[in-house]
Amino acid sequence: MRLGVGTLLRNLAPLVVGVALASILHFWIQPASGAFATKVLVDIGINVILAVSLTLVNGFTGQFSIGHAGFMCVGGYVAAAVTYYGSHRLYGDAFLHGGVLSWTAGQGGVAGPLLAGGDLLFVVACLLGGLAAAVAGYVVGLPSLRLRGDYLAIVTLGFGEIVRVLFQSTQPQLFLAGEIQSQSTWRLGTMLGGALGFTSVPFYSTLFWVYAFVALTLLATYRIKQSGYGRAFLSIREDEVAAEAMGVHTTRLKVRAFVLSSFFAGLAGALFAHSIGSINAGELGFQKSFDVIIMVVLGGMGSISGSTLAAIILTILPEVLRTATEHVNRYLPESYALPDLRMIIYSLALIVMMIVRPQGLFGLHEIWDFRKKARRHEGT
Amino acid sequence: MDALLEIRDLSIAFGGLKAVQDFSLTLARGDLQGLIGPNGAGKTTVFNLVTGVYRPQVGTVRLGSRVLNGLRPHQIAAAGVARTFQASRLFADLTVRDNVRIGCQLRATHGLWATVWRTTRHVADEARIRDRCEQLLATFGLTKRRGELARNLPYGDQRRLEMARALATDPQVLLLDEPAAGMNPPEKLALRELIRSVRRQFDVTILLIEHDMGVVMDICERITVLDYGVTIAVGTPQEVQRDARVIAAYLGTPETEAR
Repeated sequence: MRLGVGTLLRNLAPLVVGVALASILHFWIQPASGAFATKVLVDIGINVILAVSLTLVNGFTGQFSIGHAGFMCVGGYVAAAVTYYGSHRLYGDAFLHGGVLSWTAGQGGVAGPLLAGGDLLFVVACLLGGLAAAVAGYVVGLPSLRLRGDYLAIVTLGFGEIVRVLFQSTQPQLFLAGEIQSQSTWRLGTMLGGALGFTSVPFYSTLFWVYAFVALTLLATYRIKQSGYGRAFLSIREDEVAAEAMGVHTTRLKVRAFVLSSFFAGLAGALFAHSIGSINAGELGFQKSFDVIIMVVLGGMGSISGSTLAAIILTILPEVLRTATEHVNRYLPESYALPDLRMIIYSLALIVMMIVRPQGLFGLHEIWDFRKKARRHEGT
Repeated sequence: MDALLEIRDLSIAFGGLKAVQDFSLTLARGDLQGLIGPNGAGKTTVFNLVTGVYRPQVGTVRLGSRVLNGLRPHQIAAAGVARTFQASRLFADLTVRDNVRIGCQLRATHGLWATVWRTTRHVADEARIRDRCEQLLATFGLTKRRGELARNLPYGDQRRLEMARALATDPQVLLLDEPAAGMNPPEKLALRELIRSVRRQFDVTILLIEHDMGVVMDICERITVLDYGVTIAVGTPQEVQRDARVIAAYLGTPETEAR
């Protein structure tokens, strides 16, 4: 296979742009925006990865998975354990050992190298988290993707619950450096904090790393959608019998979509754990899966840009609503105070959506497809 | 005779219903044969048995020297047997172009990794698929409609798109399930010519199910007639048309009326 420098540049150009944007966010936007906005931006990035990865399965192949938080959980725990215990093994403590890219301004000294050993540890942890989730996706997907529709939904729902229970029944987390040093690596793998969750995870998930992984996710999914693989995925969703007759190995492709989707969900889980400094399976139950499904359904089943947009809106909306209710409540007597409106607005939005536009905001299409279509109409 | 597709003693029963019994048929390379019979005679079941949608309980299907029965539908498509469907099974929400490209994809060679990194091989593969797709669309007069969703096509165009999509898999044998259904008379006339030219241009062997006797009798060289899952006649169009059992099956006899 010939791979010239030119081709390599063209292939990686979108990723370079993505990393450049992530750098801009990290070095200029983050210091100016303050801690709260940074937190929201990080959440947006993580939710974009979750929504786009779920669209691979629920949108492209038309299978209905409702256990996405389970894969997020697997990736989060594995990555958190790797950085926490790994950091202890390498540095003797679980503080940040990264370069400038892993430092959030306002947390103290920003001087240092661009990348340091801790960054490598973190990136490897994220990839391992993704891989662990992918393996889980394979194990769940292989037997259950022969099932259709509702049955798969039930299996994935069950999987999410099993994951939650498994992580909640792990051994207590170790915090003392001496104890950690004396344990074998395999035993450490079972000490994930149980019902208390896994805490003290170093805060590596800066805007840079989150958005670098967002760029990677968007690039990979978009290229897949544009290729023969994407078309084969879509053919399964359209008509499985016809897809088989056209030579599409439907079972294998469904499993592949599922594994890919799980990988990115695991990645999102890893970023999540390193953004809030802990991970707790109890908080990543069915409700979290459902939040992601809402994003995919609203954005359009199969639309990458639609899911992205929906993830952005649905991450900002609760914050806006919360601020708005707080403002209004200040002028209302306490007994008339408005409750948390988030779930009410979500449910209403979903109901309206299902009536008006069941295929989601963008359906299968990307946002720019509509501009193209509009131009064509003007032309003729 | 150079047998390309050899179907021997194929049988399947659904519960107590013997849908197809001891069905045998041999297609030589370049043949254009017809499979007819009243509604519910088991014609589509034969197609489903050959393409692996159903597994035959008895009998064998052979393409050249390769045994096809027991294979999954996608493996049979890869072996070189393509089909269209009676009720349209197009990928309705995809464009005309993408429908055809999914068929072309069967002969592509690049993997998932190559897709994500957009390697030279992937780019070359996609370009080849695009060219082949354009060529097929041109053959079937669908070039102008390539950007439209399949569901928005007029019925006749949908039937042609089904054929284009099946041919995209580069088959040796093409099974057409009622290609003329829903077409108007001028379209049906054009279809006869189209099927003949497809056979020449793509070098395929064709077996077609069709209710329109004008089409069948005109283009098929040999016809097999099914009734209640049983083969009641085989022969040239002239022979079949004269066959008393065929006439009885289609028009009924006082005896069958009474039943």
